[in-house]
Amino acid sequence: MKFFQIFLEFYRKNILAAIVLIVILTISLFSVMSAAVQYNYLSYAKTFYTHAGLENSVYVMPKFTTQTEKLLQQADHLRNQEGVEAVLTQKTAGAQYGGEFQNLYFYNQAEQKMPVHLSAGTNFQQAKAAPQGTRNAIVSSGGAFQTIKCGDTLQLFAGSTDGKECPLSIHVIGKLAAPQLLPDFGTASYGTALPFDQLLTNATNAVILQDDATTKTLQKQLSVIASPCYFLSFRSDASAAQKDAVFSTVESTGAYISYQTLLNDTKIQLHTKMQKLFGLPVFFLVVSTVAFLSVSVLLVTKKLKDHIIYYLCGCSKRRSRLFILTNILSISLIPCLLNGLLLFRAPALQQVGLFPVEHAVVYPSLFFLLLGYLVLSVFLSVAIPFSQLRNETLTQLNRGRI
Amino acid sequence: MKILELAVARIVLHFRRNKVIFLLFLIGSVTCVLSFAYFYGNMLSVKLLETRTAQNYRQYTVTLPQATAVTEKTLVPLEPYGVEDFRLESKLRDTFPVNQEERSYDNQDMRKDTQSSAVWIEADGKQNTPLFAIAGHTDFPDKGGNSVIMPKTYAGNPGDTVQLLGQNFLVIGLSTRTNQCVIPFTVYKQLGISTNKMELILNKKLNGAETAAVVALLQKMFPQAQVTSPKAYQALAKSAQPGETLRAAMLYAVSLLAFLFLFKFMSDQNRFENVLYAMVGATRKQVKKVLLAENILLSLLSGTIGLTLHASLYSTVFVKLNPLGAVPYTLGDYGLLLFLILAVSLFTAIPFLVQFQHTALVDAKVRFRE
Repeated sequence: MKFFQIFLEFYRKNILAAIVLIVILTISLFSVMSAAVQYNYLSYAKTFYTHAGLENSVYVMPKFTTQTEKLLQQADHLRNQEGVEAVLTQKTAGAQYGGEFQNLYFYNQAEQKMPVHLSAGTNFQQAKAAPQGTRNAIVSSGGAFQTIKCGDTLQLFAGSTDGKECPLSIHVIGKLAAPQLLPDFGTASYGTALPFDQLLTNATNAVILQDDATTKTLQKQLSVIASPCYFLSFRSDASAAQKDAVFSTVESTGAYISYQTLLNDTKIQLHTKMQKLFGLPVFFLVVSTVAFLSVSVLLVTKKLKDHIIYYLCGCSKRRSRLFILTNILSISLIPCLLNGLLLFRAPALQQVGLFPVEHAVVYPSLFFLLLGYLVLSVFLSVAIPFSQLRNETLTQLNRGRI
Repeated sequence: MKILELAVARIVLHFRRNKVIFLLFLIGSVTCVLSFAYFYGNMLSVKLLETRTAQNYRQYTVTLPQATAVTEKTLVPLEPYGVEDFRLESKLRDTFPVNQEERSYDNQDMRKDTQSSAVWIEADGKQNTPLFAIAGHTDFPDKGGNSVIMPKTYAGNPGDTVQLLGQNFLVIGLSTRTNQCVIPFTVYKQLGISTNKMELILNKKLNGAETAAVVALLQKMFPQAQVTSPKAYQALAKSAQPGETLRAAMLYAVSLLAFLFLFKFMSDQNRFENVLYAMVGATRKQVKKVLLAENILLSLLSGTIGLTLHASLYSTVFVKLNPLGAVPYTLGDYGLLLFLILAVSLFTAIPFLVQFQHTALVDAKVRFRE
């Protein structure tokens, strides 16, 4: 109780300084953290696409962007050309489940190479055949699927070509893991750089089905929209002439970007984002950290007189140090805790659109960074008063003050 | 002079009494000054437009009332200023089919199925200004051939042949532009096309006198033409400068806020000094002048250290933190920054002066003893 009273006494006497420090530290830490999660997003996108086996591919951007039938026809035509290994088109449809709109993604075999992480269950290749009348599906982890478990069977209502709702039974074989991002081939680049982060989408309301013979009939029934752009992969033994023939076909109705260009754009973007995102927040954090150190030392120096009295009343030097440490720690701990909590709840907040950063990926390393900052800042701010206490006895300090 | 001496003596006393606090205050203030220099360079449009990437500051446009022949020779007088690129535009009378889908998205005003009078033919001088493809190529592999890059509103595809200026042109690509057909400069010259508009991009941003000289030269070369210089952009950026500078200064003041606790502690320590001044006959006004001088000297000290650090470490450290690269800082910029630092310090001194005004000298003496 006495300890708590002394702890509160510190805040009572320095309330304004403590509030200013807590606010400044919270804002500056948040600005650095939000820069970090945005940078992580781009870095995640780079990792995602560099592990997708697209090294021998080009990103095709046809001129006609809204005609699904025409797009798929061209994709089929290219698929049959010599030297072409695969054409990764993306097909989506809309569905209703749990009173929410869900995106139905039809994942083809080539797309399944892309590292979509699951928090539970298995991917399509390892899954057993779906029960009669249902289709295997991977669903998002939150939203309407929050309480759904792998093995559950759900009834969805998908939008059909005739404008009516088409019932669709799915057998959940897996759930997406955070950050719940899926490839999105919808963005075309006409001149501006196209880094990989623009080819990802938030899959917070997603149902992934296999794009194979089993879903062909279903796709015909549903109002399926093809992504305007697609990846075209060449065989490893494709000759330059075969590639030129494909490029000639592609260029007759559109443009293309090589995988290498996309990767270079991403690398440039990573460098630019590093400067753009971190410049101001780092300055703020440095200023607020220096402010925290300075004001902490000041507060302890001002409080030293009280510690002399505690000492004369029988309080040990060790206990005195503990008081100082607790007070300083509490100032730094609140901003770190608030930011840590925000990061911890980021996926849930993102789902309901309350997370202040749209494209964010939270890595666990960020929590360690926060912890590291907490330890270092507290260590530095108590180091000076502690060294004062170590070099001089409290009686000496008292004499110095008289 | 005595006021200045007293202010210096008080600062020395701060240092002697509380070395740690004084040094922390100085480090904090210097950090704030460094941040302020960063805000200034990266928040002010007028500074950002000085970077190499800001093409608007290097671009001059000549609009000719009547189509005139322009060749490379015409541009020879401008060579001392270093022409990086130029674009020539001529109004086109030919028509071509328009893509309905693109028309509805990009040009609501176009009501015809064919496009004619609104279209400009453009020749890129050195092709330094990139064209972006939505189909086919946007460079000219065959510089001398009759090839054209059509606007995206064109209904056809690469490989088509279109009639322009009475000649057959091979469509090699479709660019993102909405109303410009682009042909190689060599073909533009060969066909003797007259120019309606010319855009010049110089190698570097010119100062006011040089800009005026270029404008005068262009006006002399094309007496009837309307010449647009980067002055308009400069004026726009300059008009935003006071507001942006104020925002940067406010950020500096906010970052300085926490360090005022340290300054308050130091000035409280010197409260007894104020009583002594009064006892030996100093008026309240004189004591306030000492307080103000002390504040200004401290700001001058931290400002000078911070700005010297910034200037000396700029090319090695701070430039790397700029999102738009090398924002140039001149001596004038540092002068302005120092002036603003002093102005903010005066602003932050107000609470201390008010506190002094409302504290009786006896009370100050008693409080010091406490």
